[in-house]
Amino acid sequence: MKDKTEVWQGTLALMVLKTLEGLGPQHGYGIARRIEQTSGDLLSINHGTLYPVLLKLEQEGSISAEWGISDNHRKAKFYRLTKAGRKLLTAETHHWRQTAAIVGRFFTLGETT
Amino acid sequence: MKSLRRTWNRLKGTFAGNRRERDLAAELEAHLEMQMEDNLSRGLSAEAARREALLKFGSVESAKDSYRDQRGLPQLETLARDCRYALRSMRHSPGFTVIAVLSLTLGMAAATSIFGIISSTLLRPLPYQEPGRLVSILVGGAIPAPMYEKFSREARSIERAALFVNVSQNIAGNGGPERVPGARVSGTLFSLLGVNARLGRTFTPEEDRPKGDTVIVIGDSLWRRQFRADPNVLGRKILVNGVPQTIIGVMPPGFHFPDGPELPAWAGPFPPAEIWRPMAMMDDERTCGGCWNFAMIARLHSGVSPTQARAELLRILHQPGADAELTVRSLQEAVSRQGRRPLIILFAAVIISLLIACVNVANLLIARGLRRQPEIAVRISLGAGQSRIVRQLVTESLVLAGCAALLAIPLSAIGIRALIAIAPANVPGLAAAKLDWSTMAFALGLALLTTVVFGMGPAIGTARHAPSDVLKSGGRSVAGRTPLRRALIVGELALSMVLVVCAALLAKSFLVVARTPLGFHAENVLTMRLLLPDARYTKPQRAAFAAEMASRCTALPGVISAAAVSTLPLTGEAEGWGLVPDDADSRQVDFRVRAVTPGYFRTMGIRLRSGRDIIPSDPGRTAILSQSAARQRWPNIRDPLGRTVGGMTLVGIVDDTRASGLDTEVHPYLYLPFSRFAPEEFALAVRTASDPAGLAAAVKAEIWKLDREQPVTHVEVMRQLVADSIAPRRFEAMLMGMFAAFALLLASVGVYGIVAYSVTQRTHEIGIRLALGASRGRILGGIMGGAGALAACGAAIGVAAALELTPLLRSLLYGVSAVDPLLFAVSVLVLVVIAVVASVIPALRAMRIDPAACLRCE
Repeated sequence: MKDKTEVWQGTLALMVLKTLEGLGPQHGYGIARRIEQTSGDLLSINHGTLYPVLLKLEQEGSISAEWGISDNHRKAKFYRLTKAGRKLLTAETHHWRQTAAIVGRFFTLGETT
Repeated sequence: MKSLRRTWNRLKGTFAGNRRERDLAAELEAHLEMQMEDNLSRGLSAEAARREALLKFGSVESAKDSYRDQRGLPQLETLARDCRYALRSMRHSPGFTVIAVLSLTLGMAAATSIFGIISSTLLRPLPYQEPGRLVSILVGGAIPAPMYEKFSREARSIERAALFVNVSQNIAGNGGPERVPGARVSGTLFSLLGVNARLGRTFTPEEDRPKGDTVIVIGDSLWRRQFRADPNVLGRKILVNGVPQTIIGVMPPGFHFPDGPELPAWAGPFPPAEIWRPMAMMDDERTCGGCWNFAMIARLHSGVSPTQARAELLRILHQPGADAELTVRSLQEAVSRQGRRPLIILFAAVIISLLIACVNVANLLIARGLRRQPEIAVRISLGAGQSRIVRQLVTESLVLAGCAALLAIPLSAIGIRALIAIAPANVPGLAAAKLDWSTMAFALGLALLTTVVFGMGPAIGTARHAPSDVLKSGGRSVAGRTPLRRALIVGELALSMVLVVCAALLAKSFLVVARTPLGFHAENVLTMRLLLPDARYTKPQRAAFAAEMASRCTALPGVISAAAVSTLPLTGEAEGWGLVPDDADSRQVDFRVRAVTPGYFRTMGIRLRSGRDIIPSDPGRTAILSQSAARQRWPNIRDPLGRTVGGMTLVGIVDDTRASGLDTEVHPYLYLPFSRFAPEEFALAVRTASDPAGLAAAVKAEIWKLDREQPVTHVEVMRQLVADSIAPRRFEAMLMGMFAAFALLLASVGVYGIVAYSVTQRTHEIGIRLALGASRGRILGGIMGGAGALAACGAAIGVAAALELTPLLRSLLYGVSAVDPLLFAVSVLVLVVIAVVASVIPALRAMRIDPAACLRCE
């Protein structure tokens, strides 16, 4: 069994990748807002925890970062999905769906018996 | 791949400067402000907007922290921080740092230097292809040609074989006549060794046949010396032993076959070969089964061991008694075995010195750890884990050892050069010893190892003290008793004791050998060697040359007498052996034979006991024996003069000499008139009235008047030859003495340290005792006695260890028992005295403690 935070970190990374795929280049605040919105505000994350995840993805080469100007003319760091990141996202999405499906089957099994 | 990339980026992140830190701050600030703006637009007040934003974000500092952890490699950063801290604390206690680093540096430099010598002499691979498959094959030390041919024809374990014999050649080159060490070799030798000429070629099969041998191959050093590295030297004709020969090839640098242990034992020490002639064996040599003139080298098939090859050769030989005679010896092993014992012993000694240095530093670290207890207690109470503290302390040790290693590496380069300078010559590979990568790697390995040895224990010990005890004691350290430190000092003294005993034994052996009576007078004798080749001189011509040369030299002003002799004493040259037929009235004796011209005994200062010297008019059938030779030959006859030995008339008896080596038994010598077998190579000895070296030029000029092309080599004074013959012993004794002195120095520093520490600890107690009326002398005596007791413990353990270890030295000792009681006693005394002397300064300080001041400050 993986450590709890580790699972969470992995999941958060996947959410970040998916968000960047949908939104295009985005800054940290934008990503955090978008994740909360997408989850229907069910998920409340400490925005601070997002940054180490972003850095890790950047170090792996899944995303790249550069300074740019936000909608309200503020200097902010924008993250963009790289080719490697897209590939990772596809693989992870597939993997996630599979896992979810398997776990789902166990639950439906439990309900019917 | 991904994780590699991440690690690389994190590594880069570790060394990132302030820019990244500013970037991070700016990014987080932008985040908060964007959130605030959103909050403001939702209608919150400015203050509430900010608070809400911070709440949403979580702790900014903790986010930064985990961001930083992700950015760099935290372990590496901790290490860097610990190193910086270590360097800072080293700067703060310079005394400790200097002593610790210096003793480690000296220990490591000595160990590294000796290792450098070992790696280039014992561990060096021979400069041939697959040297592991090369063996020398000898039967009773040599091999005749028919046996060689039988072996190479029939033995299935042999891939290729070659014959060789070392011979010196006179050459008349550009730089004047010169005698060059060389060899006659089979044409197959070079391909067998797998070495090609760097210029030109080696011998063809045709050139290895009689009459084909008008060609020579020369070595790189000869090519540079005589021909100024001229690339057009190929095809040049030069006079070799007076016969013109064509140079067809130049060998690569470092090729000197046969050299060192590649030579058969009877060759004696022979300088590295520089000139090669084809074997070109005549039919009579080829078929002579009794001509034990050659040595054989073979390349075995891969996978065949020397033992297997030997078994096969024994079957082929099929002779009774061959088992004891036949040797098949791996060349690589022979190289590493030669001179192994002294070097291994010195290496052991140097490792002991290093160990003592480590113990010393461990001791200093313990003392320092005690002083730092308050600091460490505070850090533990503030939440630093014990493992963290240990890691910090071990890092400090590592920095110490690292500094020492960095200093030791250049120092050992100097050490290696110094060792080469003082080492006896004739150790193959020694001149090439230098600081290479393996040696440096060894030094760094030592640094790591010593860190573990001296750093680990004290670190754990220091970190284990409970912080509450330390803090309660109000900043004063809580050591009091120091059993571990005392045990370490005792161990250090015991190890020093072992080295001191070894040094004493080797020094005594050297002195015994150096004081051995020579049997001749080495003062004021000039010697040199000549080679009159058969190609230019017949035997009678050679004898006439020697006689003429001796009388001309005797006539020189400043010369007392001069004579020629086949072999000089103590040069380690091949001894002449004589098979003297048995006479009815006497015993068979294994004489060593020397051919001498009249006046040899006077020149060398060998006393004539009875009878007379050889005179020029002797018919050649006269003989002179050394005293022990005569006694062995005729044990029951008081005056054997006039009797015959091997058909020769005994005309005189002279004193015994130790001409074959000062530390070997006295051999029986048979002296014959030079004209009897006038050898190709011989020596000239000249006794002078004053400094012999000054006459060398005049003597050489006389020789050149007789033969302008005669090279004169090995011009030496006899005194030097005597010194050279015991140089290995001096070298071993000197090095061991240095290690012992180093060990004693370290041990005395250790004793000083612990006594000084205990005086500081006991200041209060000593003050009270003085106040109660104890005499100052008593205090002084008590402290120095304590040091003496430590030394006595160390000496006792050291003596026990030395009794076990010194018998291993036996092969290096001469004239002294490995457990010589007097030397052991002296060593114990030295150790105790040094320990007591080392405690003088702190003991005097204790004596001068002012009880009033001491009690007042309490």
